[in-house]
Amino acid sequence: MAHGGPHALGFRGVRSCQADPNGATLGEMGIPQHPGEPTGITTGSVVAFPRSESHGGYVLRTLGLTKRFGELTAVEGLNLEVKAGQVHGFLGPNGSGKSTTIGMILGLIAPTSGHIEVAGDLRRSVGAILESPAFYPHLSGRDNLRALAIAVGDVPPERIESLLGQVGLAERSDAAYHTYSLGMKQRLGIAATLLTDPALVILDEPTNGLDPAGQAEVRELIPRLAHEGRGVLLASHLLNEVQHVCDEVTIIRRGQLIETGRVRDLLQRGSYIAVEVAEADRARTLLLEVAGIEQVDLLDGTLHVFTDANRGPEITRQLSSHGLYLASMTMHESTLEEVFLELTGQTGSVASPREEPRAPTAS
Amino acid sequence: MLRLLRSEWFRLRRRAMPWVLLGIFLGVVLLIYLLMWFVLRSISTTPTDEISRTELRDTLRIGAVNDSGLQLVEQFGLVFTVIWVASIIATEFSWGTIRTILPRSTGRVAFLTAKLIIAVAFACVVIVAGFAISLAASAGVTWAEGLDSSLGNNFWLHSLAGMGRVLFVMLPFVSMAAMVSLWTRSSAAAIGVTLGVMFLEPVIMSVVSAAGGFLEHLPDLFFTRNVNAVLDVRQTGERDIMGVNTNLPNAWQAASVLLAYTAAFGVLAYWRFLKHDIQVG
Repeated sequence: MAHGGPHALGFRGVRSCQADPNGATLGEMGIPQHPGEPTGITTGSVVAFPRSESHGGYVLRTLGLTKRFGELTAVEGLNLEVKAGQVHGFLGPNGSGKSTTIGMILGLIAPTSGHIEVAGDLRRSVGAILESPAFYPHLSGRDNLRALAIAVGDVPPERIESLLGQVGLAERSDAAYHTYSLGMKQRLGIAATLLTDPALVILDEPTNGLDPAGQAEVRELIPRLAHEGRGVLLASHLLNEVQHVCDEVTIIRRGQLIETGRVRDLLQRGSYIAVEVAEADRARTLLLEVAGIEQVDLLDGTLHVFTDANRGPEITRQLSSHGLYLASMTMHESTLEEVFLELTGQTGSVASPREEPRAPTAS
Repeated sequence: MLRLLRSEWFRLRRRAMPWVLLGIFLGVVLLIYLLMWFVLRSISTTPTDEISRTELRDTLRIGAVNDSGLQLVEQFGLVFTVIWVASIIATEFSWGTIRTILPRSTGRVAFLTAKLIIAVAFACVVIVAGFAISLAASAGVTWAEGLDSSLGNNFWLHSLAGMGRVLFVMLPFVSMAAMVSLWTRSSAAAIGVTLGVMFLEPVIMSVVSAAGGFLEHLPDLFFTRNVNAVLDVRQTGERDIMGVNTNLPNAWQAASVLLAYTAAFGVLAYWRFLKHDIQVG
């Protein structure tokens, strides 16, 4: 599918990025700075940069991104990074600011403050399918893609035909858009997203309206896009899907970043070993003080031991050496859904104790 | 900008609406000529009706197309142009396609400018096509009724100048329709407001100026009298039946007022579009 991939995208020039003399520098904001980066923060700017190692291989970075609508703060101080070759999940409850963030990245919404950096030419290097794709109803599927291709320029006609075939619309490509089913509209949206062979692909609920076969195709497509070297930002409420396809996730709530990191690390933190043992209180004290485990909770007579699964034998040894014998031990692997609900405050269960938002780690 | 224009033209060619609007407009112009011709043939030949017959002949003959024909084009063509302008801007919001096309554009200024260029181009097509139909209709009537077929000196130059003036007086309304479309994101609102101003303003100003005093010259700050002045319609010192001073403003003064409105509405339109956040979800 790729025509040279994102590495073939040349540097088309940086949009105006004049340092705000009253604004903070990256260093003052405590944000790691890569050599050659602009030193000033512009207010509400979107900057294109050439993809190079000095930028840590990311295709999208937001720094202190904030959007206020009058008194309402929709997004506040969001730092987000999407790396080339990775699928990055973007999660949050309804109204958390995901759509607003995506709107700012696409230039549809002006940030109140903060900074957005995108690899390559902004018009060509970002492809996005939003929750409900919108096209011209009187145009056919093919003509809708052609209209976009003309606007952006330098898209060969063969690419349009290829994309229509890949999304399964070749036979209906001459039918007017208003005759398409929801699934067909979504497929056309996917084709439009890939029209310019973008470095960054933003997918907002891409399986919306698709039948099971279509959903399976999209699930296969997403990692393939990353494998081709693109960065993929996936916003989806289907957390099972996100858990399996995403390398990293960022979770926001009420416009603020509450957690970001690798999926497996998040799942690890939420996983625990459930231990049933007589004298549970004594066992808990032993595990905390002697075994050096950071968190052990007692719920309904069962110990929840938050540690690596491979410490099971060690736990058994520690307890038995003090005369405590296990009735049962089971490994509970958390799901992304459990972690998400816990972090967004939508469940009372005890899992990850993290409360403070965490800046993305430098790569 | 060129790419955006090509994309606009690509989409326009495949949409029925502009062709339907143009067809209806041309049909209306032709119908009015036919009606006037029918009336001419129906008026009796008594001396009391001779003045009416003479006036109607003068209106229908080919040499008068630069006045009567272009007047029809201006009055009806403006209605259809306003409908078109409101549609091409507001439907981007109602269809949601603004979210799809804008990120692919070279910027909001270029995007809106391309829209306005297409709008003015449509106005030009309306004017030229309307003039052509008027010319053909008046030629037909002239031939059928044996009217004076002389075109006068510099006919085509006057035609070109006349069409240019018609385009000029359309611009404030085109600009107004664009501005209202962007502020309300509704084609119905844009059409309603702009056509409302077009039709109600002369009525209101007629009543206001009849009060006399400083109010007598208030209409000079608005549209109708300045449009009439630019189109060179009735430059006499007469007062009409309601006692309204029909002395029109100086044509250059009138053109300045209309240009000021065009610019003001245009600035407001761009300002709104540049500031407007387009919701994604």
